[in-house]
Amino acid sequence: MLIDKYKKYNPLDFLKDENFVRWQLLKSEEDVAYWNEIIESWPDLKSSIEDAEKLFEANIRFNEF
Amino acid sequence: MKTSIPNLTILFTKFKEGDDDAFIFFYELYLNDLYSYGISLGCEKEVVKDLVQDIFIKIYNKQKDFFSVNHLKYFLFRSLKNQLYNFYKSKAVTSKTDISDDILNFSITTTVLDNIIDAEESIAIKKKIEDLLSKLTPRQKEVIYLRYMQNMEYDEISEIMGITPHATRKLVSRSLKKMRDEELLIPFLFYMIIFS
Repeated sequence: MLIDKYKKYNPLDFLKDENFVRWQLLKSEEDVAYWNEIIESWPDLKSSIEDAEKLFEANIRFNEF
Repeated sequence: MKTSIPNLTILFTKFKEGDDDAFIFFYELYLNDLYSYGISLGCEKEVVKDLVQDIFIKIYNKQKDFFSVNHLKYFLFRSLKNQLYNFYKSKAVTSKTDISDDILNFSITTTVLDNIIDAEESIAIKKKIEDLLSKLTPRQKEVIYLRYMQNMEYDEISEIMGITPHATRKLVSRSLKKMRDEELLIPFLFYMIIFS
């Protein structure tokens, strides 16, 4: 199950996860709902996901020249 | 650059009244985004820079009848796209090469800064993001960029891309579908419904 995979993730692992990347990239309604649901259902994952979000924000850039 | 909303509103009012500091503020606010957009369309840096300067000079010298900050931003993007299109089209005509509608092909490049992340991880993360984006055609990348990275409205995007608002919505939803791994999401949501 997907959630078992997430439970083993460290923050950097999230940055290599397609669902997480798409969420960060688009912040589309569906992706936001999906990740909110995850955090609500498994609060243990919250801090790890938040760290991953910070890492993404601080380190990933698009079309910078 | 983050600015609180009342501040931006005041600056925008001053900008409309012809205040130079406010003009410089908006020039600096959108300069990098405009360069980035032009270069991502596959255009040469020098050409983009010249055209962006032309657009700002024109705005500086005329009545600034923009409704809102977003309207200004949309106007800048649309002007740049039109100017780039005309520039490369006329170039294509004189050099008699046939590139017609494929002149401006949008691409998205990903940079992973190596602040915290080591090189090996950086490469893996970059590859993951690029794999996801590589599912999209140039037009799908452009629509995703304008919608989600530049936060533009559908009607604005439709004007910039020269398609109807309806076609814009369809292009966005098709792009999202392509980027979405249905096989993962559907069983997950099913699981949530059954066991929550």
